[in-house]
Amino acid sequence: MSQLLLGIDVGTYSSKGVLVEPDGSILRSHVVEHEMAIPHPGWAEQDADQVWWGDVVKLCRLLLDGNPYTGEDVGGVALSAIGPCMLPLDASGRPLRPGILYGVDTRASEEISFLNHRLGEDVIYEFSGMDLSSQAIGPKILWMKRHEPELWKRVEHITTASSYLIYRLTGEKVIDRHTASHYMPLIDIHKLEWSDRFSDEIVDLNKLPGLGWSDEVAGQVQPAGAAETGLKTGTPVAVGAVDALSEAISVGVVRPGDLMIMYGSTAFFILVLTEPRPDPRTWTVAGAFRGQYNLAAGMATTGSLTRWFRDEFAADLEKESAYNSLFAAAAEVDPGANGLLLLPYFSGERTPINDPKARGVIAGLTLSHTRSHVYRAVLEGVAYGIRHNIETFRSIGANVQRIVAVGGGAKGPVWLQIVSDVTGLPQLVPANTIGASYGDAFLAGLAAGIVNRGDLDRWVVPGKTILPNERTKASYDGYYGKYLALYDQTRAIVHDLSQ
Amino acid sequence: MVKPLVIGLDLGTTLCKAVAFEMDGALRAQSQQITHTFRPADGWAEQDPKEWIASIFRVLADLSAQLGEETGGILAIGVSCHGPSLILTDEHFSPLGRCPIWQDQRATHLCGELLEKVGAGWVGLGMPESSFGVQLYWALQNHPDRLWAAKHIFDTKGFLLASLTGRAVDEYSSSPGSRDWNQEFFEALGVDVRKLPSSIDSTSVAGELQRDICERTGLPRGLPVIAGLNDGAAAALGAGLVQLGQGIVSLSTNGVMRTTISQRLPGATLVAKSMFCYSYVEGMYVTGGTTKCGGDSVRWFIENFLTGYPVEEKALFDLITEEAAKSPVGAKGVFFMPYLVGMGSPNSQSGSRGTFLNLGRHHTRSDLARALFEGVAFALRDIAETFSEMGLGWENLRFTGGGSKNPLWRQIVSDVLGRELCGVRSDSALGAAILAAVGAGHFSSPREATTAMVHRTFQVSPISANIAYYDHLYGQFSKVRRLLKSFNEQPGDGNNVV
Repeated sequence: MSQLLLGIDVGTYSSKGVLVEPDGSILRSHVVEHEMAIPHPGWAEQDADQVWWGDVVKLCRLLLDGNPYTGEDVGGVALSAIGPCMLPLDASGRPLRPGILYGVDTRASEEISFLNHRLGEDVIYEFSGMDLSSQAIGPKILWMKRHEPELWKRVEHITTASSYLIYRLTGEKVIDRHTASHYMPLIDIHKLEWSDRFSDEIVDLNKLPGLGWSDEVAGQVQPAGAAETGLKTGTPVAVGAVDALSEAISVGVVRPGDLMIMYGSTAFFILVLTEPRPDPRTWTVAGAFRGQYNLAAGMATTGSLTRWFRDEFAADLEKESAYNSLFAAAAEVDPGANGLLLLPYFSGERTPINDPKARGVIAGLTLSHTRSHVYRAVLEGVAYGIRHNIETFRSIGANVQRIVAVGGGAKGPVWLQIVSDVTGLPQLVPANTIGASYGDAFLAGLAAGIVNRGDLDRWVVPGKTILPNERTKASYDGYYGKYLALYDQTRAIVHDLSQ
Repeated sequence: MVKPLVIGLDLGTTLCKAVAFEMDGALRAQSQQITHTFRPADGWAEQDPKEWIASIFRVLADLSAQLGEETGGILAIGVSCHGPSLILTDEHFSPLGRCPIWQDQRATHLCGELLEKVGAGWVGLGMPESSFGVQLYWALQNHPDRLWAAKHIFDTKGFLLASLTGRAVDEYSSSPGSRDWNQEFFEALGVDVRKLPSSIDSTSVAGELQRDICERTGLPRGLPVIAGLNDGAAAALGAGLVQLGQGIVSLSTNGVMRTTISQRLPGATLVAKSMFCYSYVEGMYVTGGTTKCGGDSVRWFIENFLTGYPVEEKALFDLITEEAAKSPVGAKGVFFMPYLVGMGSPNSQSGSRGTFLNLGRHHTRSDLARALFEGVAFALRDIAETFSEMGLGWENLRFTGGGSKNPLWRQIVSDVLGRELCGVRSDSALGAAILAAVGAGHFSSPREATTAMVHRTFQVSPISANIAYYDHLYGQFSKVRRLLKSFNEQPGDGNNVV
């Protein structure tokens, strides 16, 4: 019987695949690592065949190696990936250049200004539900058109990472509406359909993939895809989602008022809503399921900042235990890091300030500050950024009823406690945080008709809750005010320096 | 026949040193002792004058033992010491307790009040807010009984000369900062100026080394003690600073920039720019300012972010240079505002803090290391720019201190200042020894003595492409500094973070 569900997620630094029974129990899982290329400050790229598709092939081969499972056992597949990315394909479906990554890639700031000027910021916003940011795909398409004109002539299709993977498996060109919501200003957020209103400036709409909901069938695995992966020809493949949305599904964030905070290399937020609430500081996007919207938000650094800090300033520590040592030392430092304050905008910032030219600042340094203080300031700086996003949700009337914390950063209790203390909000940490691939497996089951939406409650095992310490919260209130002020007051000079 | 020798005695903040030099500047013998600083409360810094004397006896005895028969060739001892500090003694020059030293911050808040009360005529050696005058004002308010009980009121130099010669005498470059103590100041405070020693020129004989000290140390009887200079001025002389309008950069724990002028600057100007000014040699004055940052920032960065453990003095610069050298001019846009212990001259502000600005994920520790070197160099340029604005020359620059021994930092300072720098093997003890040689009549003037005794070790020229780039970066640095300064000046917030 082909009843097993295969979910694969391609992330920024690694990809993960899981093979799951219809009742949610995990049979096998594998992780493969890869790199992100930074060919130029502010640029972030990955090779679509080597990294994205290569990881999918590797994971399928590892999971379906005949010990004991093979492609014959798989009843449905779903994929999620980093996104939105901009990957141009030629007429034969081959990538023309490495994929330009999501909001961590800030190259298209000139194109954003151009479109804002040309089309009108308010008009774009009214139409798209979001301001153009480094997350938007329209400006990145325009960037390629302007900077790589020879390559541009050969572009026949524009895809994102997940739609490219679906294409390699099924030959179909499909994108989920959630990821497609970032193809601004090419999509009408109120109708959730492609629109030719502004497309003349940017790209022929025929070059874009078809739109679907995450739990719908995109197509069936074709012989070419089957040969490479070992999957059975004809296996249904779901439309899938962006990694963050699959992660939200994997931890049961599917009801209105549920907020997922994903602590990855960046922080990502997904709040489930039943109607659009456009605001220029966050992203209004389609939800996974017909009739749902999401308020999404994202910071440009989180885990990438602790990683940078470890790589640059903890060379004396054993690499395997360096994070543990740093977190333990930071836990010994009092809240407020003894007067240190850090702006985490080391790659610019996405929400809510939407400022690709913002940069990191470490302020308040004295001779008495040690590495532990600065590391704590890193953790606190990110926590202030998270609070800034949650306060923005509230200010636009989007109700946050329940927070679920997921991702690598959520594994350590120190950082989670700092975030709960800074925000004053409890965070639920699920017992089994398998990640986006688990949500993909569930979407695969929905698409193949093997599970129902109600089954999710049995898939997700509740874990512990991190409660805020009220007294610590009170002291953080003051520091948070200074965090906002430090950005306001250094913004102009940092913009000036970045030129 | 024994060779003629001179001894330079230098009481530094952390080290008490006696060094014997030959008349061509060659080092013949030396001895040193660590000096302790007590920090009984936050911001307080005290030393024990009795320990100074004990240390001086030990280093002189040790030096004398090393020289053996050659002690017969010693012409004189010149004295250099740190300051300002406030020492109260009885009629036998026995100190009444520990004394605050130049690092002491307990009375800085009284500076403004004192200026209002008596004007700025008394400002001289040290940063105005931690000067002799402020220390005295604090003592008057907090322990007037001790002040009245004291028979003598000394600064470091006066106390050392009194202890060595038995005569209450001081010299111009130390706390008087000028030919005479500022009479109006003492009158306004009601302190009897006769409790203060009279002052003499730096090359004058303060007296003969007291007989019992000669016996205890084995030094020849009747040895003349030459008044000398404060340690910063002595180091400047040891570096060959003898022309009017000549500048010197000294980069060790702090960066200090000095230049020579012909007339004393008005006290109000010194206060406004947080500068010092005192009498020097050959009728000149020295003025300048302190960055409040330098080697201490380097040590902080290395120990916290490069090695994770304390580093020996010798290895300190090698480690950071290896990193900083990997980063290009301008540190890929990273700026370091080097105010880890507050802002120094000419924008003094004790509440300021250090800041790294414009950081991106593509930056590495090498960029931060280079930014640190550049930030300190920009702080030195702040002082140089102030000299220029005031119409003071800073030509023919000398460069001394631990930081000058580092080829990369040396080049950065040269590029940022846009000037050629000349390095010399120098310290305060050499400066004191030069004055001893003049005081003993071996040379006719400090200028003649430095020609014979001071030797150049390196020469570095600015790279023209870097000058223009650093001019631009310095403009941005100044903008950031003004911005951060204005944060700290915002009222109603006593706990500013930047």
